[in-house]
Amino acid sequence: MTYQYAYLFDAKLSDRSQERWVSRLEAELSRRHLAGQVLREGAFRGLKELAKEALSKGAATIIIVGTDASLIKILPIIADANVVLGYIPCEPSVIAKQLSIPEKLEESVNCLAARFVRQVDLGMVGDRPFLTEVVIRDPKAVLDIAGKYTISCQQNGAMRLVNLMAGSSIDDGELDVFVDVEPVKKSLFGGAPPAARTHVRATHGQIKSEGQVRISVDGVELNGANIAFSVRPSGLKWIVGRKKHEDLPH
Amino acid sequence: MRMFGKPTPPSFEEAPNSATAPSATTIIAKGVRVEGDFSSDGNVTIEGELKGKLSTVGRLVVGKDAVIDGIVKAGSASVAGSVTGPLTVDEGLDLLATSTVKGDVSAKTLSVERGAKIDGKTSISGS
Repeated sequence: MTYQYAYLFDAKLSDRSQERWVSRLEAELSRRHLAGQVLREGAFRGLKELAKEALSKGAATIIIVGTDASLIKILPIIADANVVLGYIPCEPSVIAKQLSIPEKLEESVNCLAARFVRQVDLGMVGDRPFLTEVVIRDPKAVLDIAGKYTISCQQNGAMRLVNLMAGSSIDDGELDVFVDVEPVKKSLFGGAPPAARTHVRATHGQIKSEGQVRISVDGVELNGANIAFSVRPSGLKWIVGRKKHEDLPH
Repeated sequence: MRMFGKPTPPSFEEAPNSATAPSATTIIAKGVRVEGDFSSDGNVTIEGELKGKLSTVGRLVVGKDAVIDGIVKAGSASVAGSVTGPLTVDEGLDLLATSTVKGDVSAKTLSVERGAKIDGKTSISGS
């Protein structure tokens, strides 16, 4: 049987404390005629497996019910699938905020029902997709931007490749590259002055290093050497909030 | 590329910091070094170091502690730091008191504050 909607529930929602929230959600989905196949994460079936199952059954829309971490887990599975993604956050969510998806249950179901679909850029680091950001704290690392120039920190700091961020376009086809350098001098009153922030934009490049560097991709720690990065413009189709939808040029 | 992951609970503690809206200006801050061919369609502020070629159609601001070693082209510019290399500006160039330019300077209009140093030929086309 093919369902239009497949709901992937994070294991967190199997907790007793979440019962009422889940009941309210199910009632709301039913009331809005949005019911579909429900797949629940469990001890022996992770979200990735559930996403694969939903895709194999031909789901046209996959709705993640859970947290930002749940979304990030299934990203490698759905990145290449031609499906529409939806999100019902069960806790405060950075990603939902950036896509103008309301955090209140009823409002997020309304958002789903309105079905404003927008294409959202997808960052790639190596062969791994990312939604939010890649953070590089290793002082050995140098960022090569499109083979044209390199950026390096001369003192401790962090380099960030940001895909989704508040206030930025979700489909500009570019990554924001930030370099935050830790201040060297203390201010007169003991506190460190605000760190300087470097900002450029890039479509692709490489994280260069002589050895392995540690990077954080959407909050997941990874090691690698000479890692390519890029942005896949409009790599995801996502049901977004009305405000994000209205940002579209008319 | 070889990567192996060590799954850790994703954390967005730093998101508020990262979620700052992007500025329209490209900024190379103090403590950061850029090498190569750097070009921009907008305004550029350099507070750190740049070695190579810098070109922008917008306004270039070179901070007091900035060090640029290379060919510089800009729509307009204000320089307070050090530039070694030819500096070509389409419109107005302001050399502030702390600036040092070692190279030929070309601009439509030029203003020089007392204390600014220029070591090179100066060419002003006028308005």
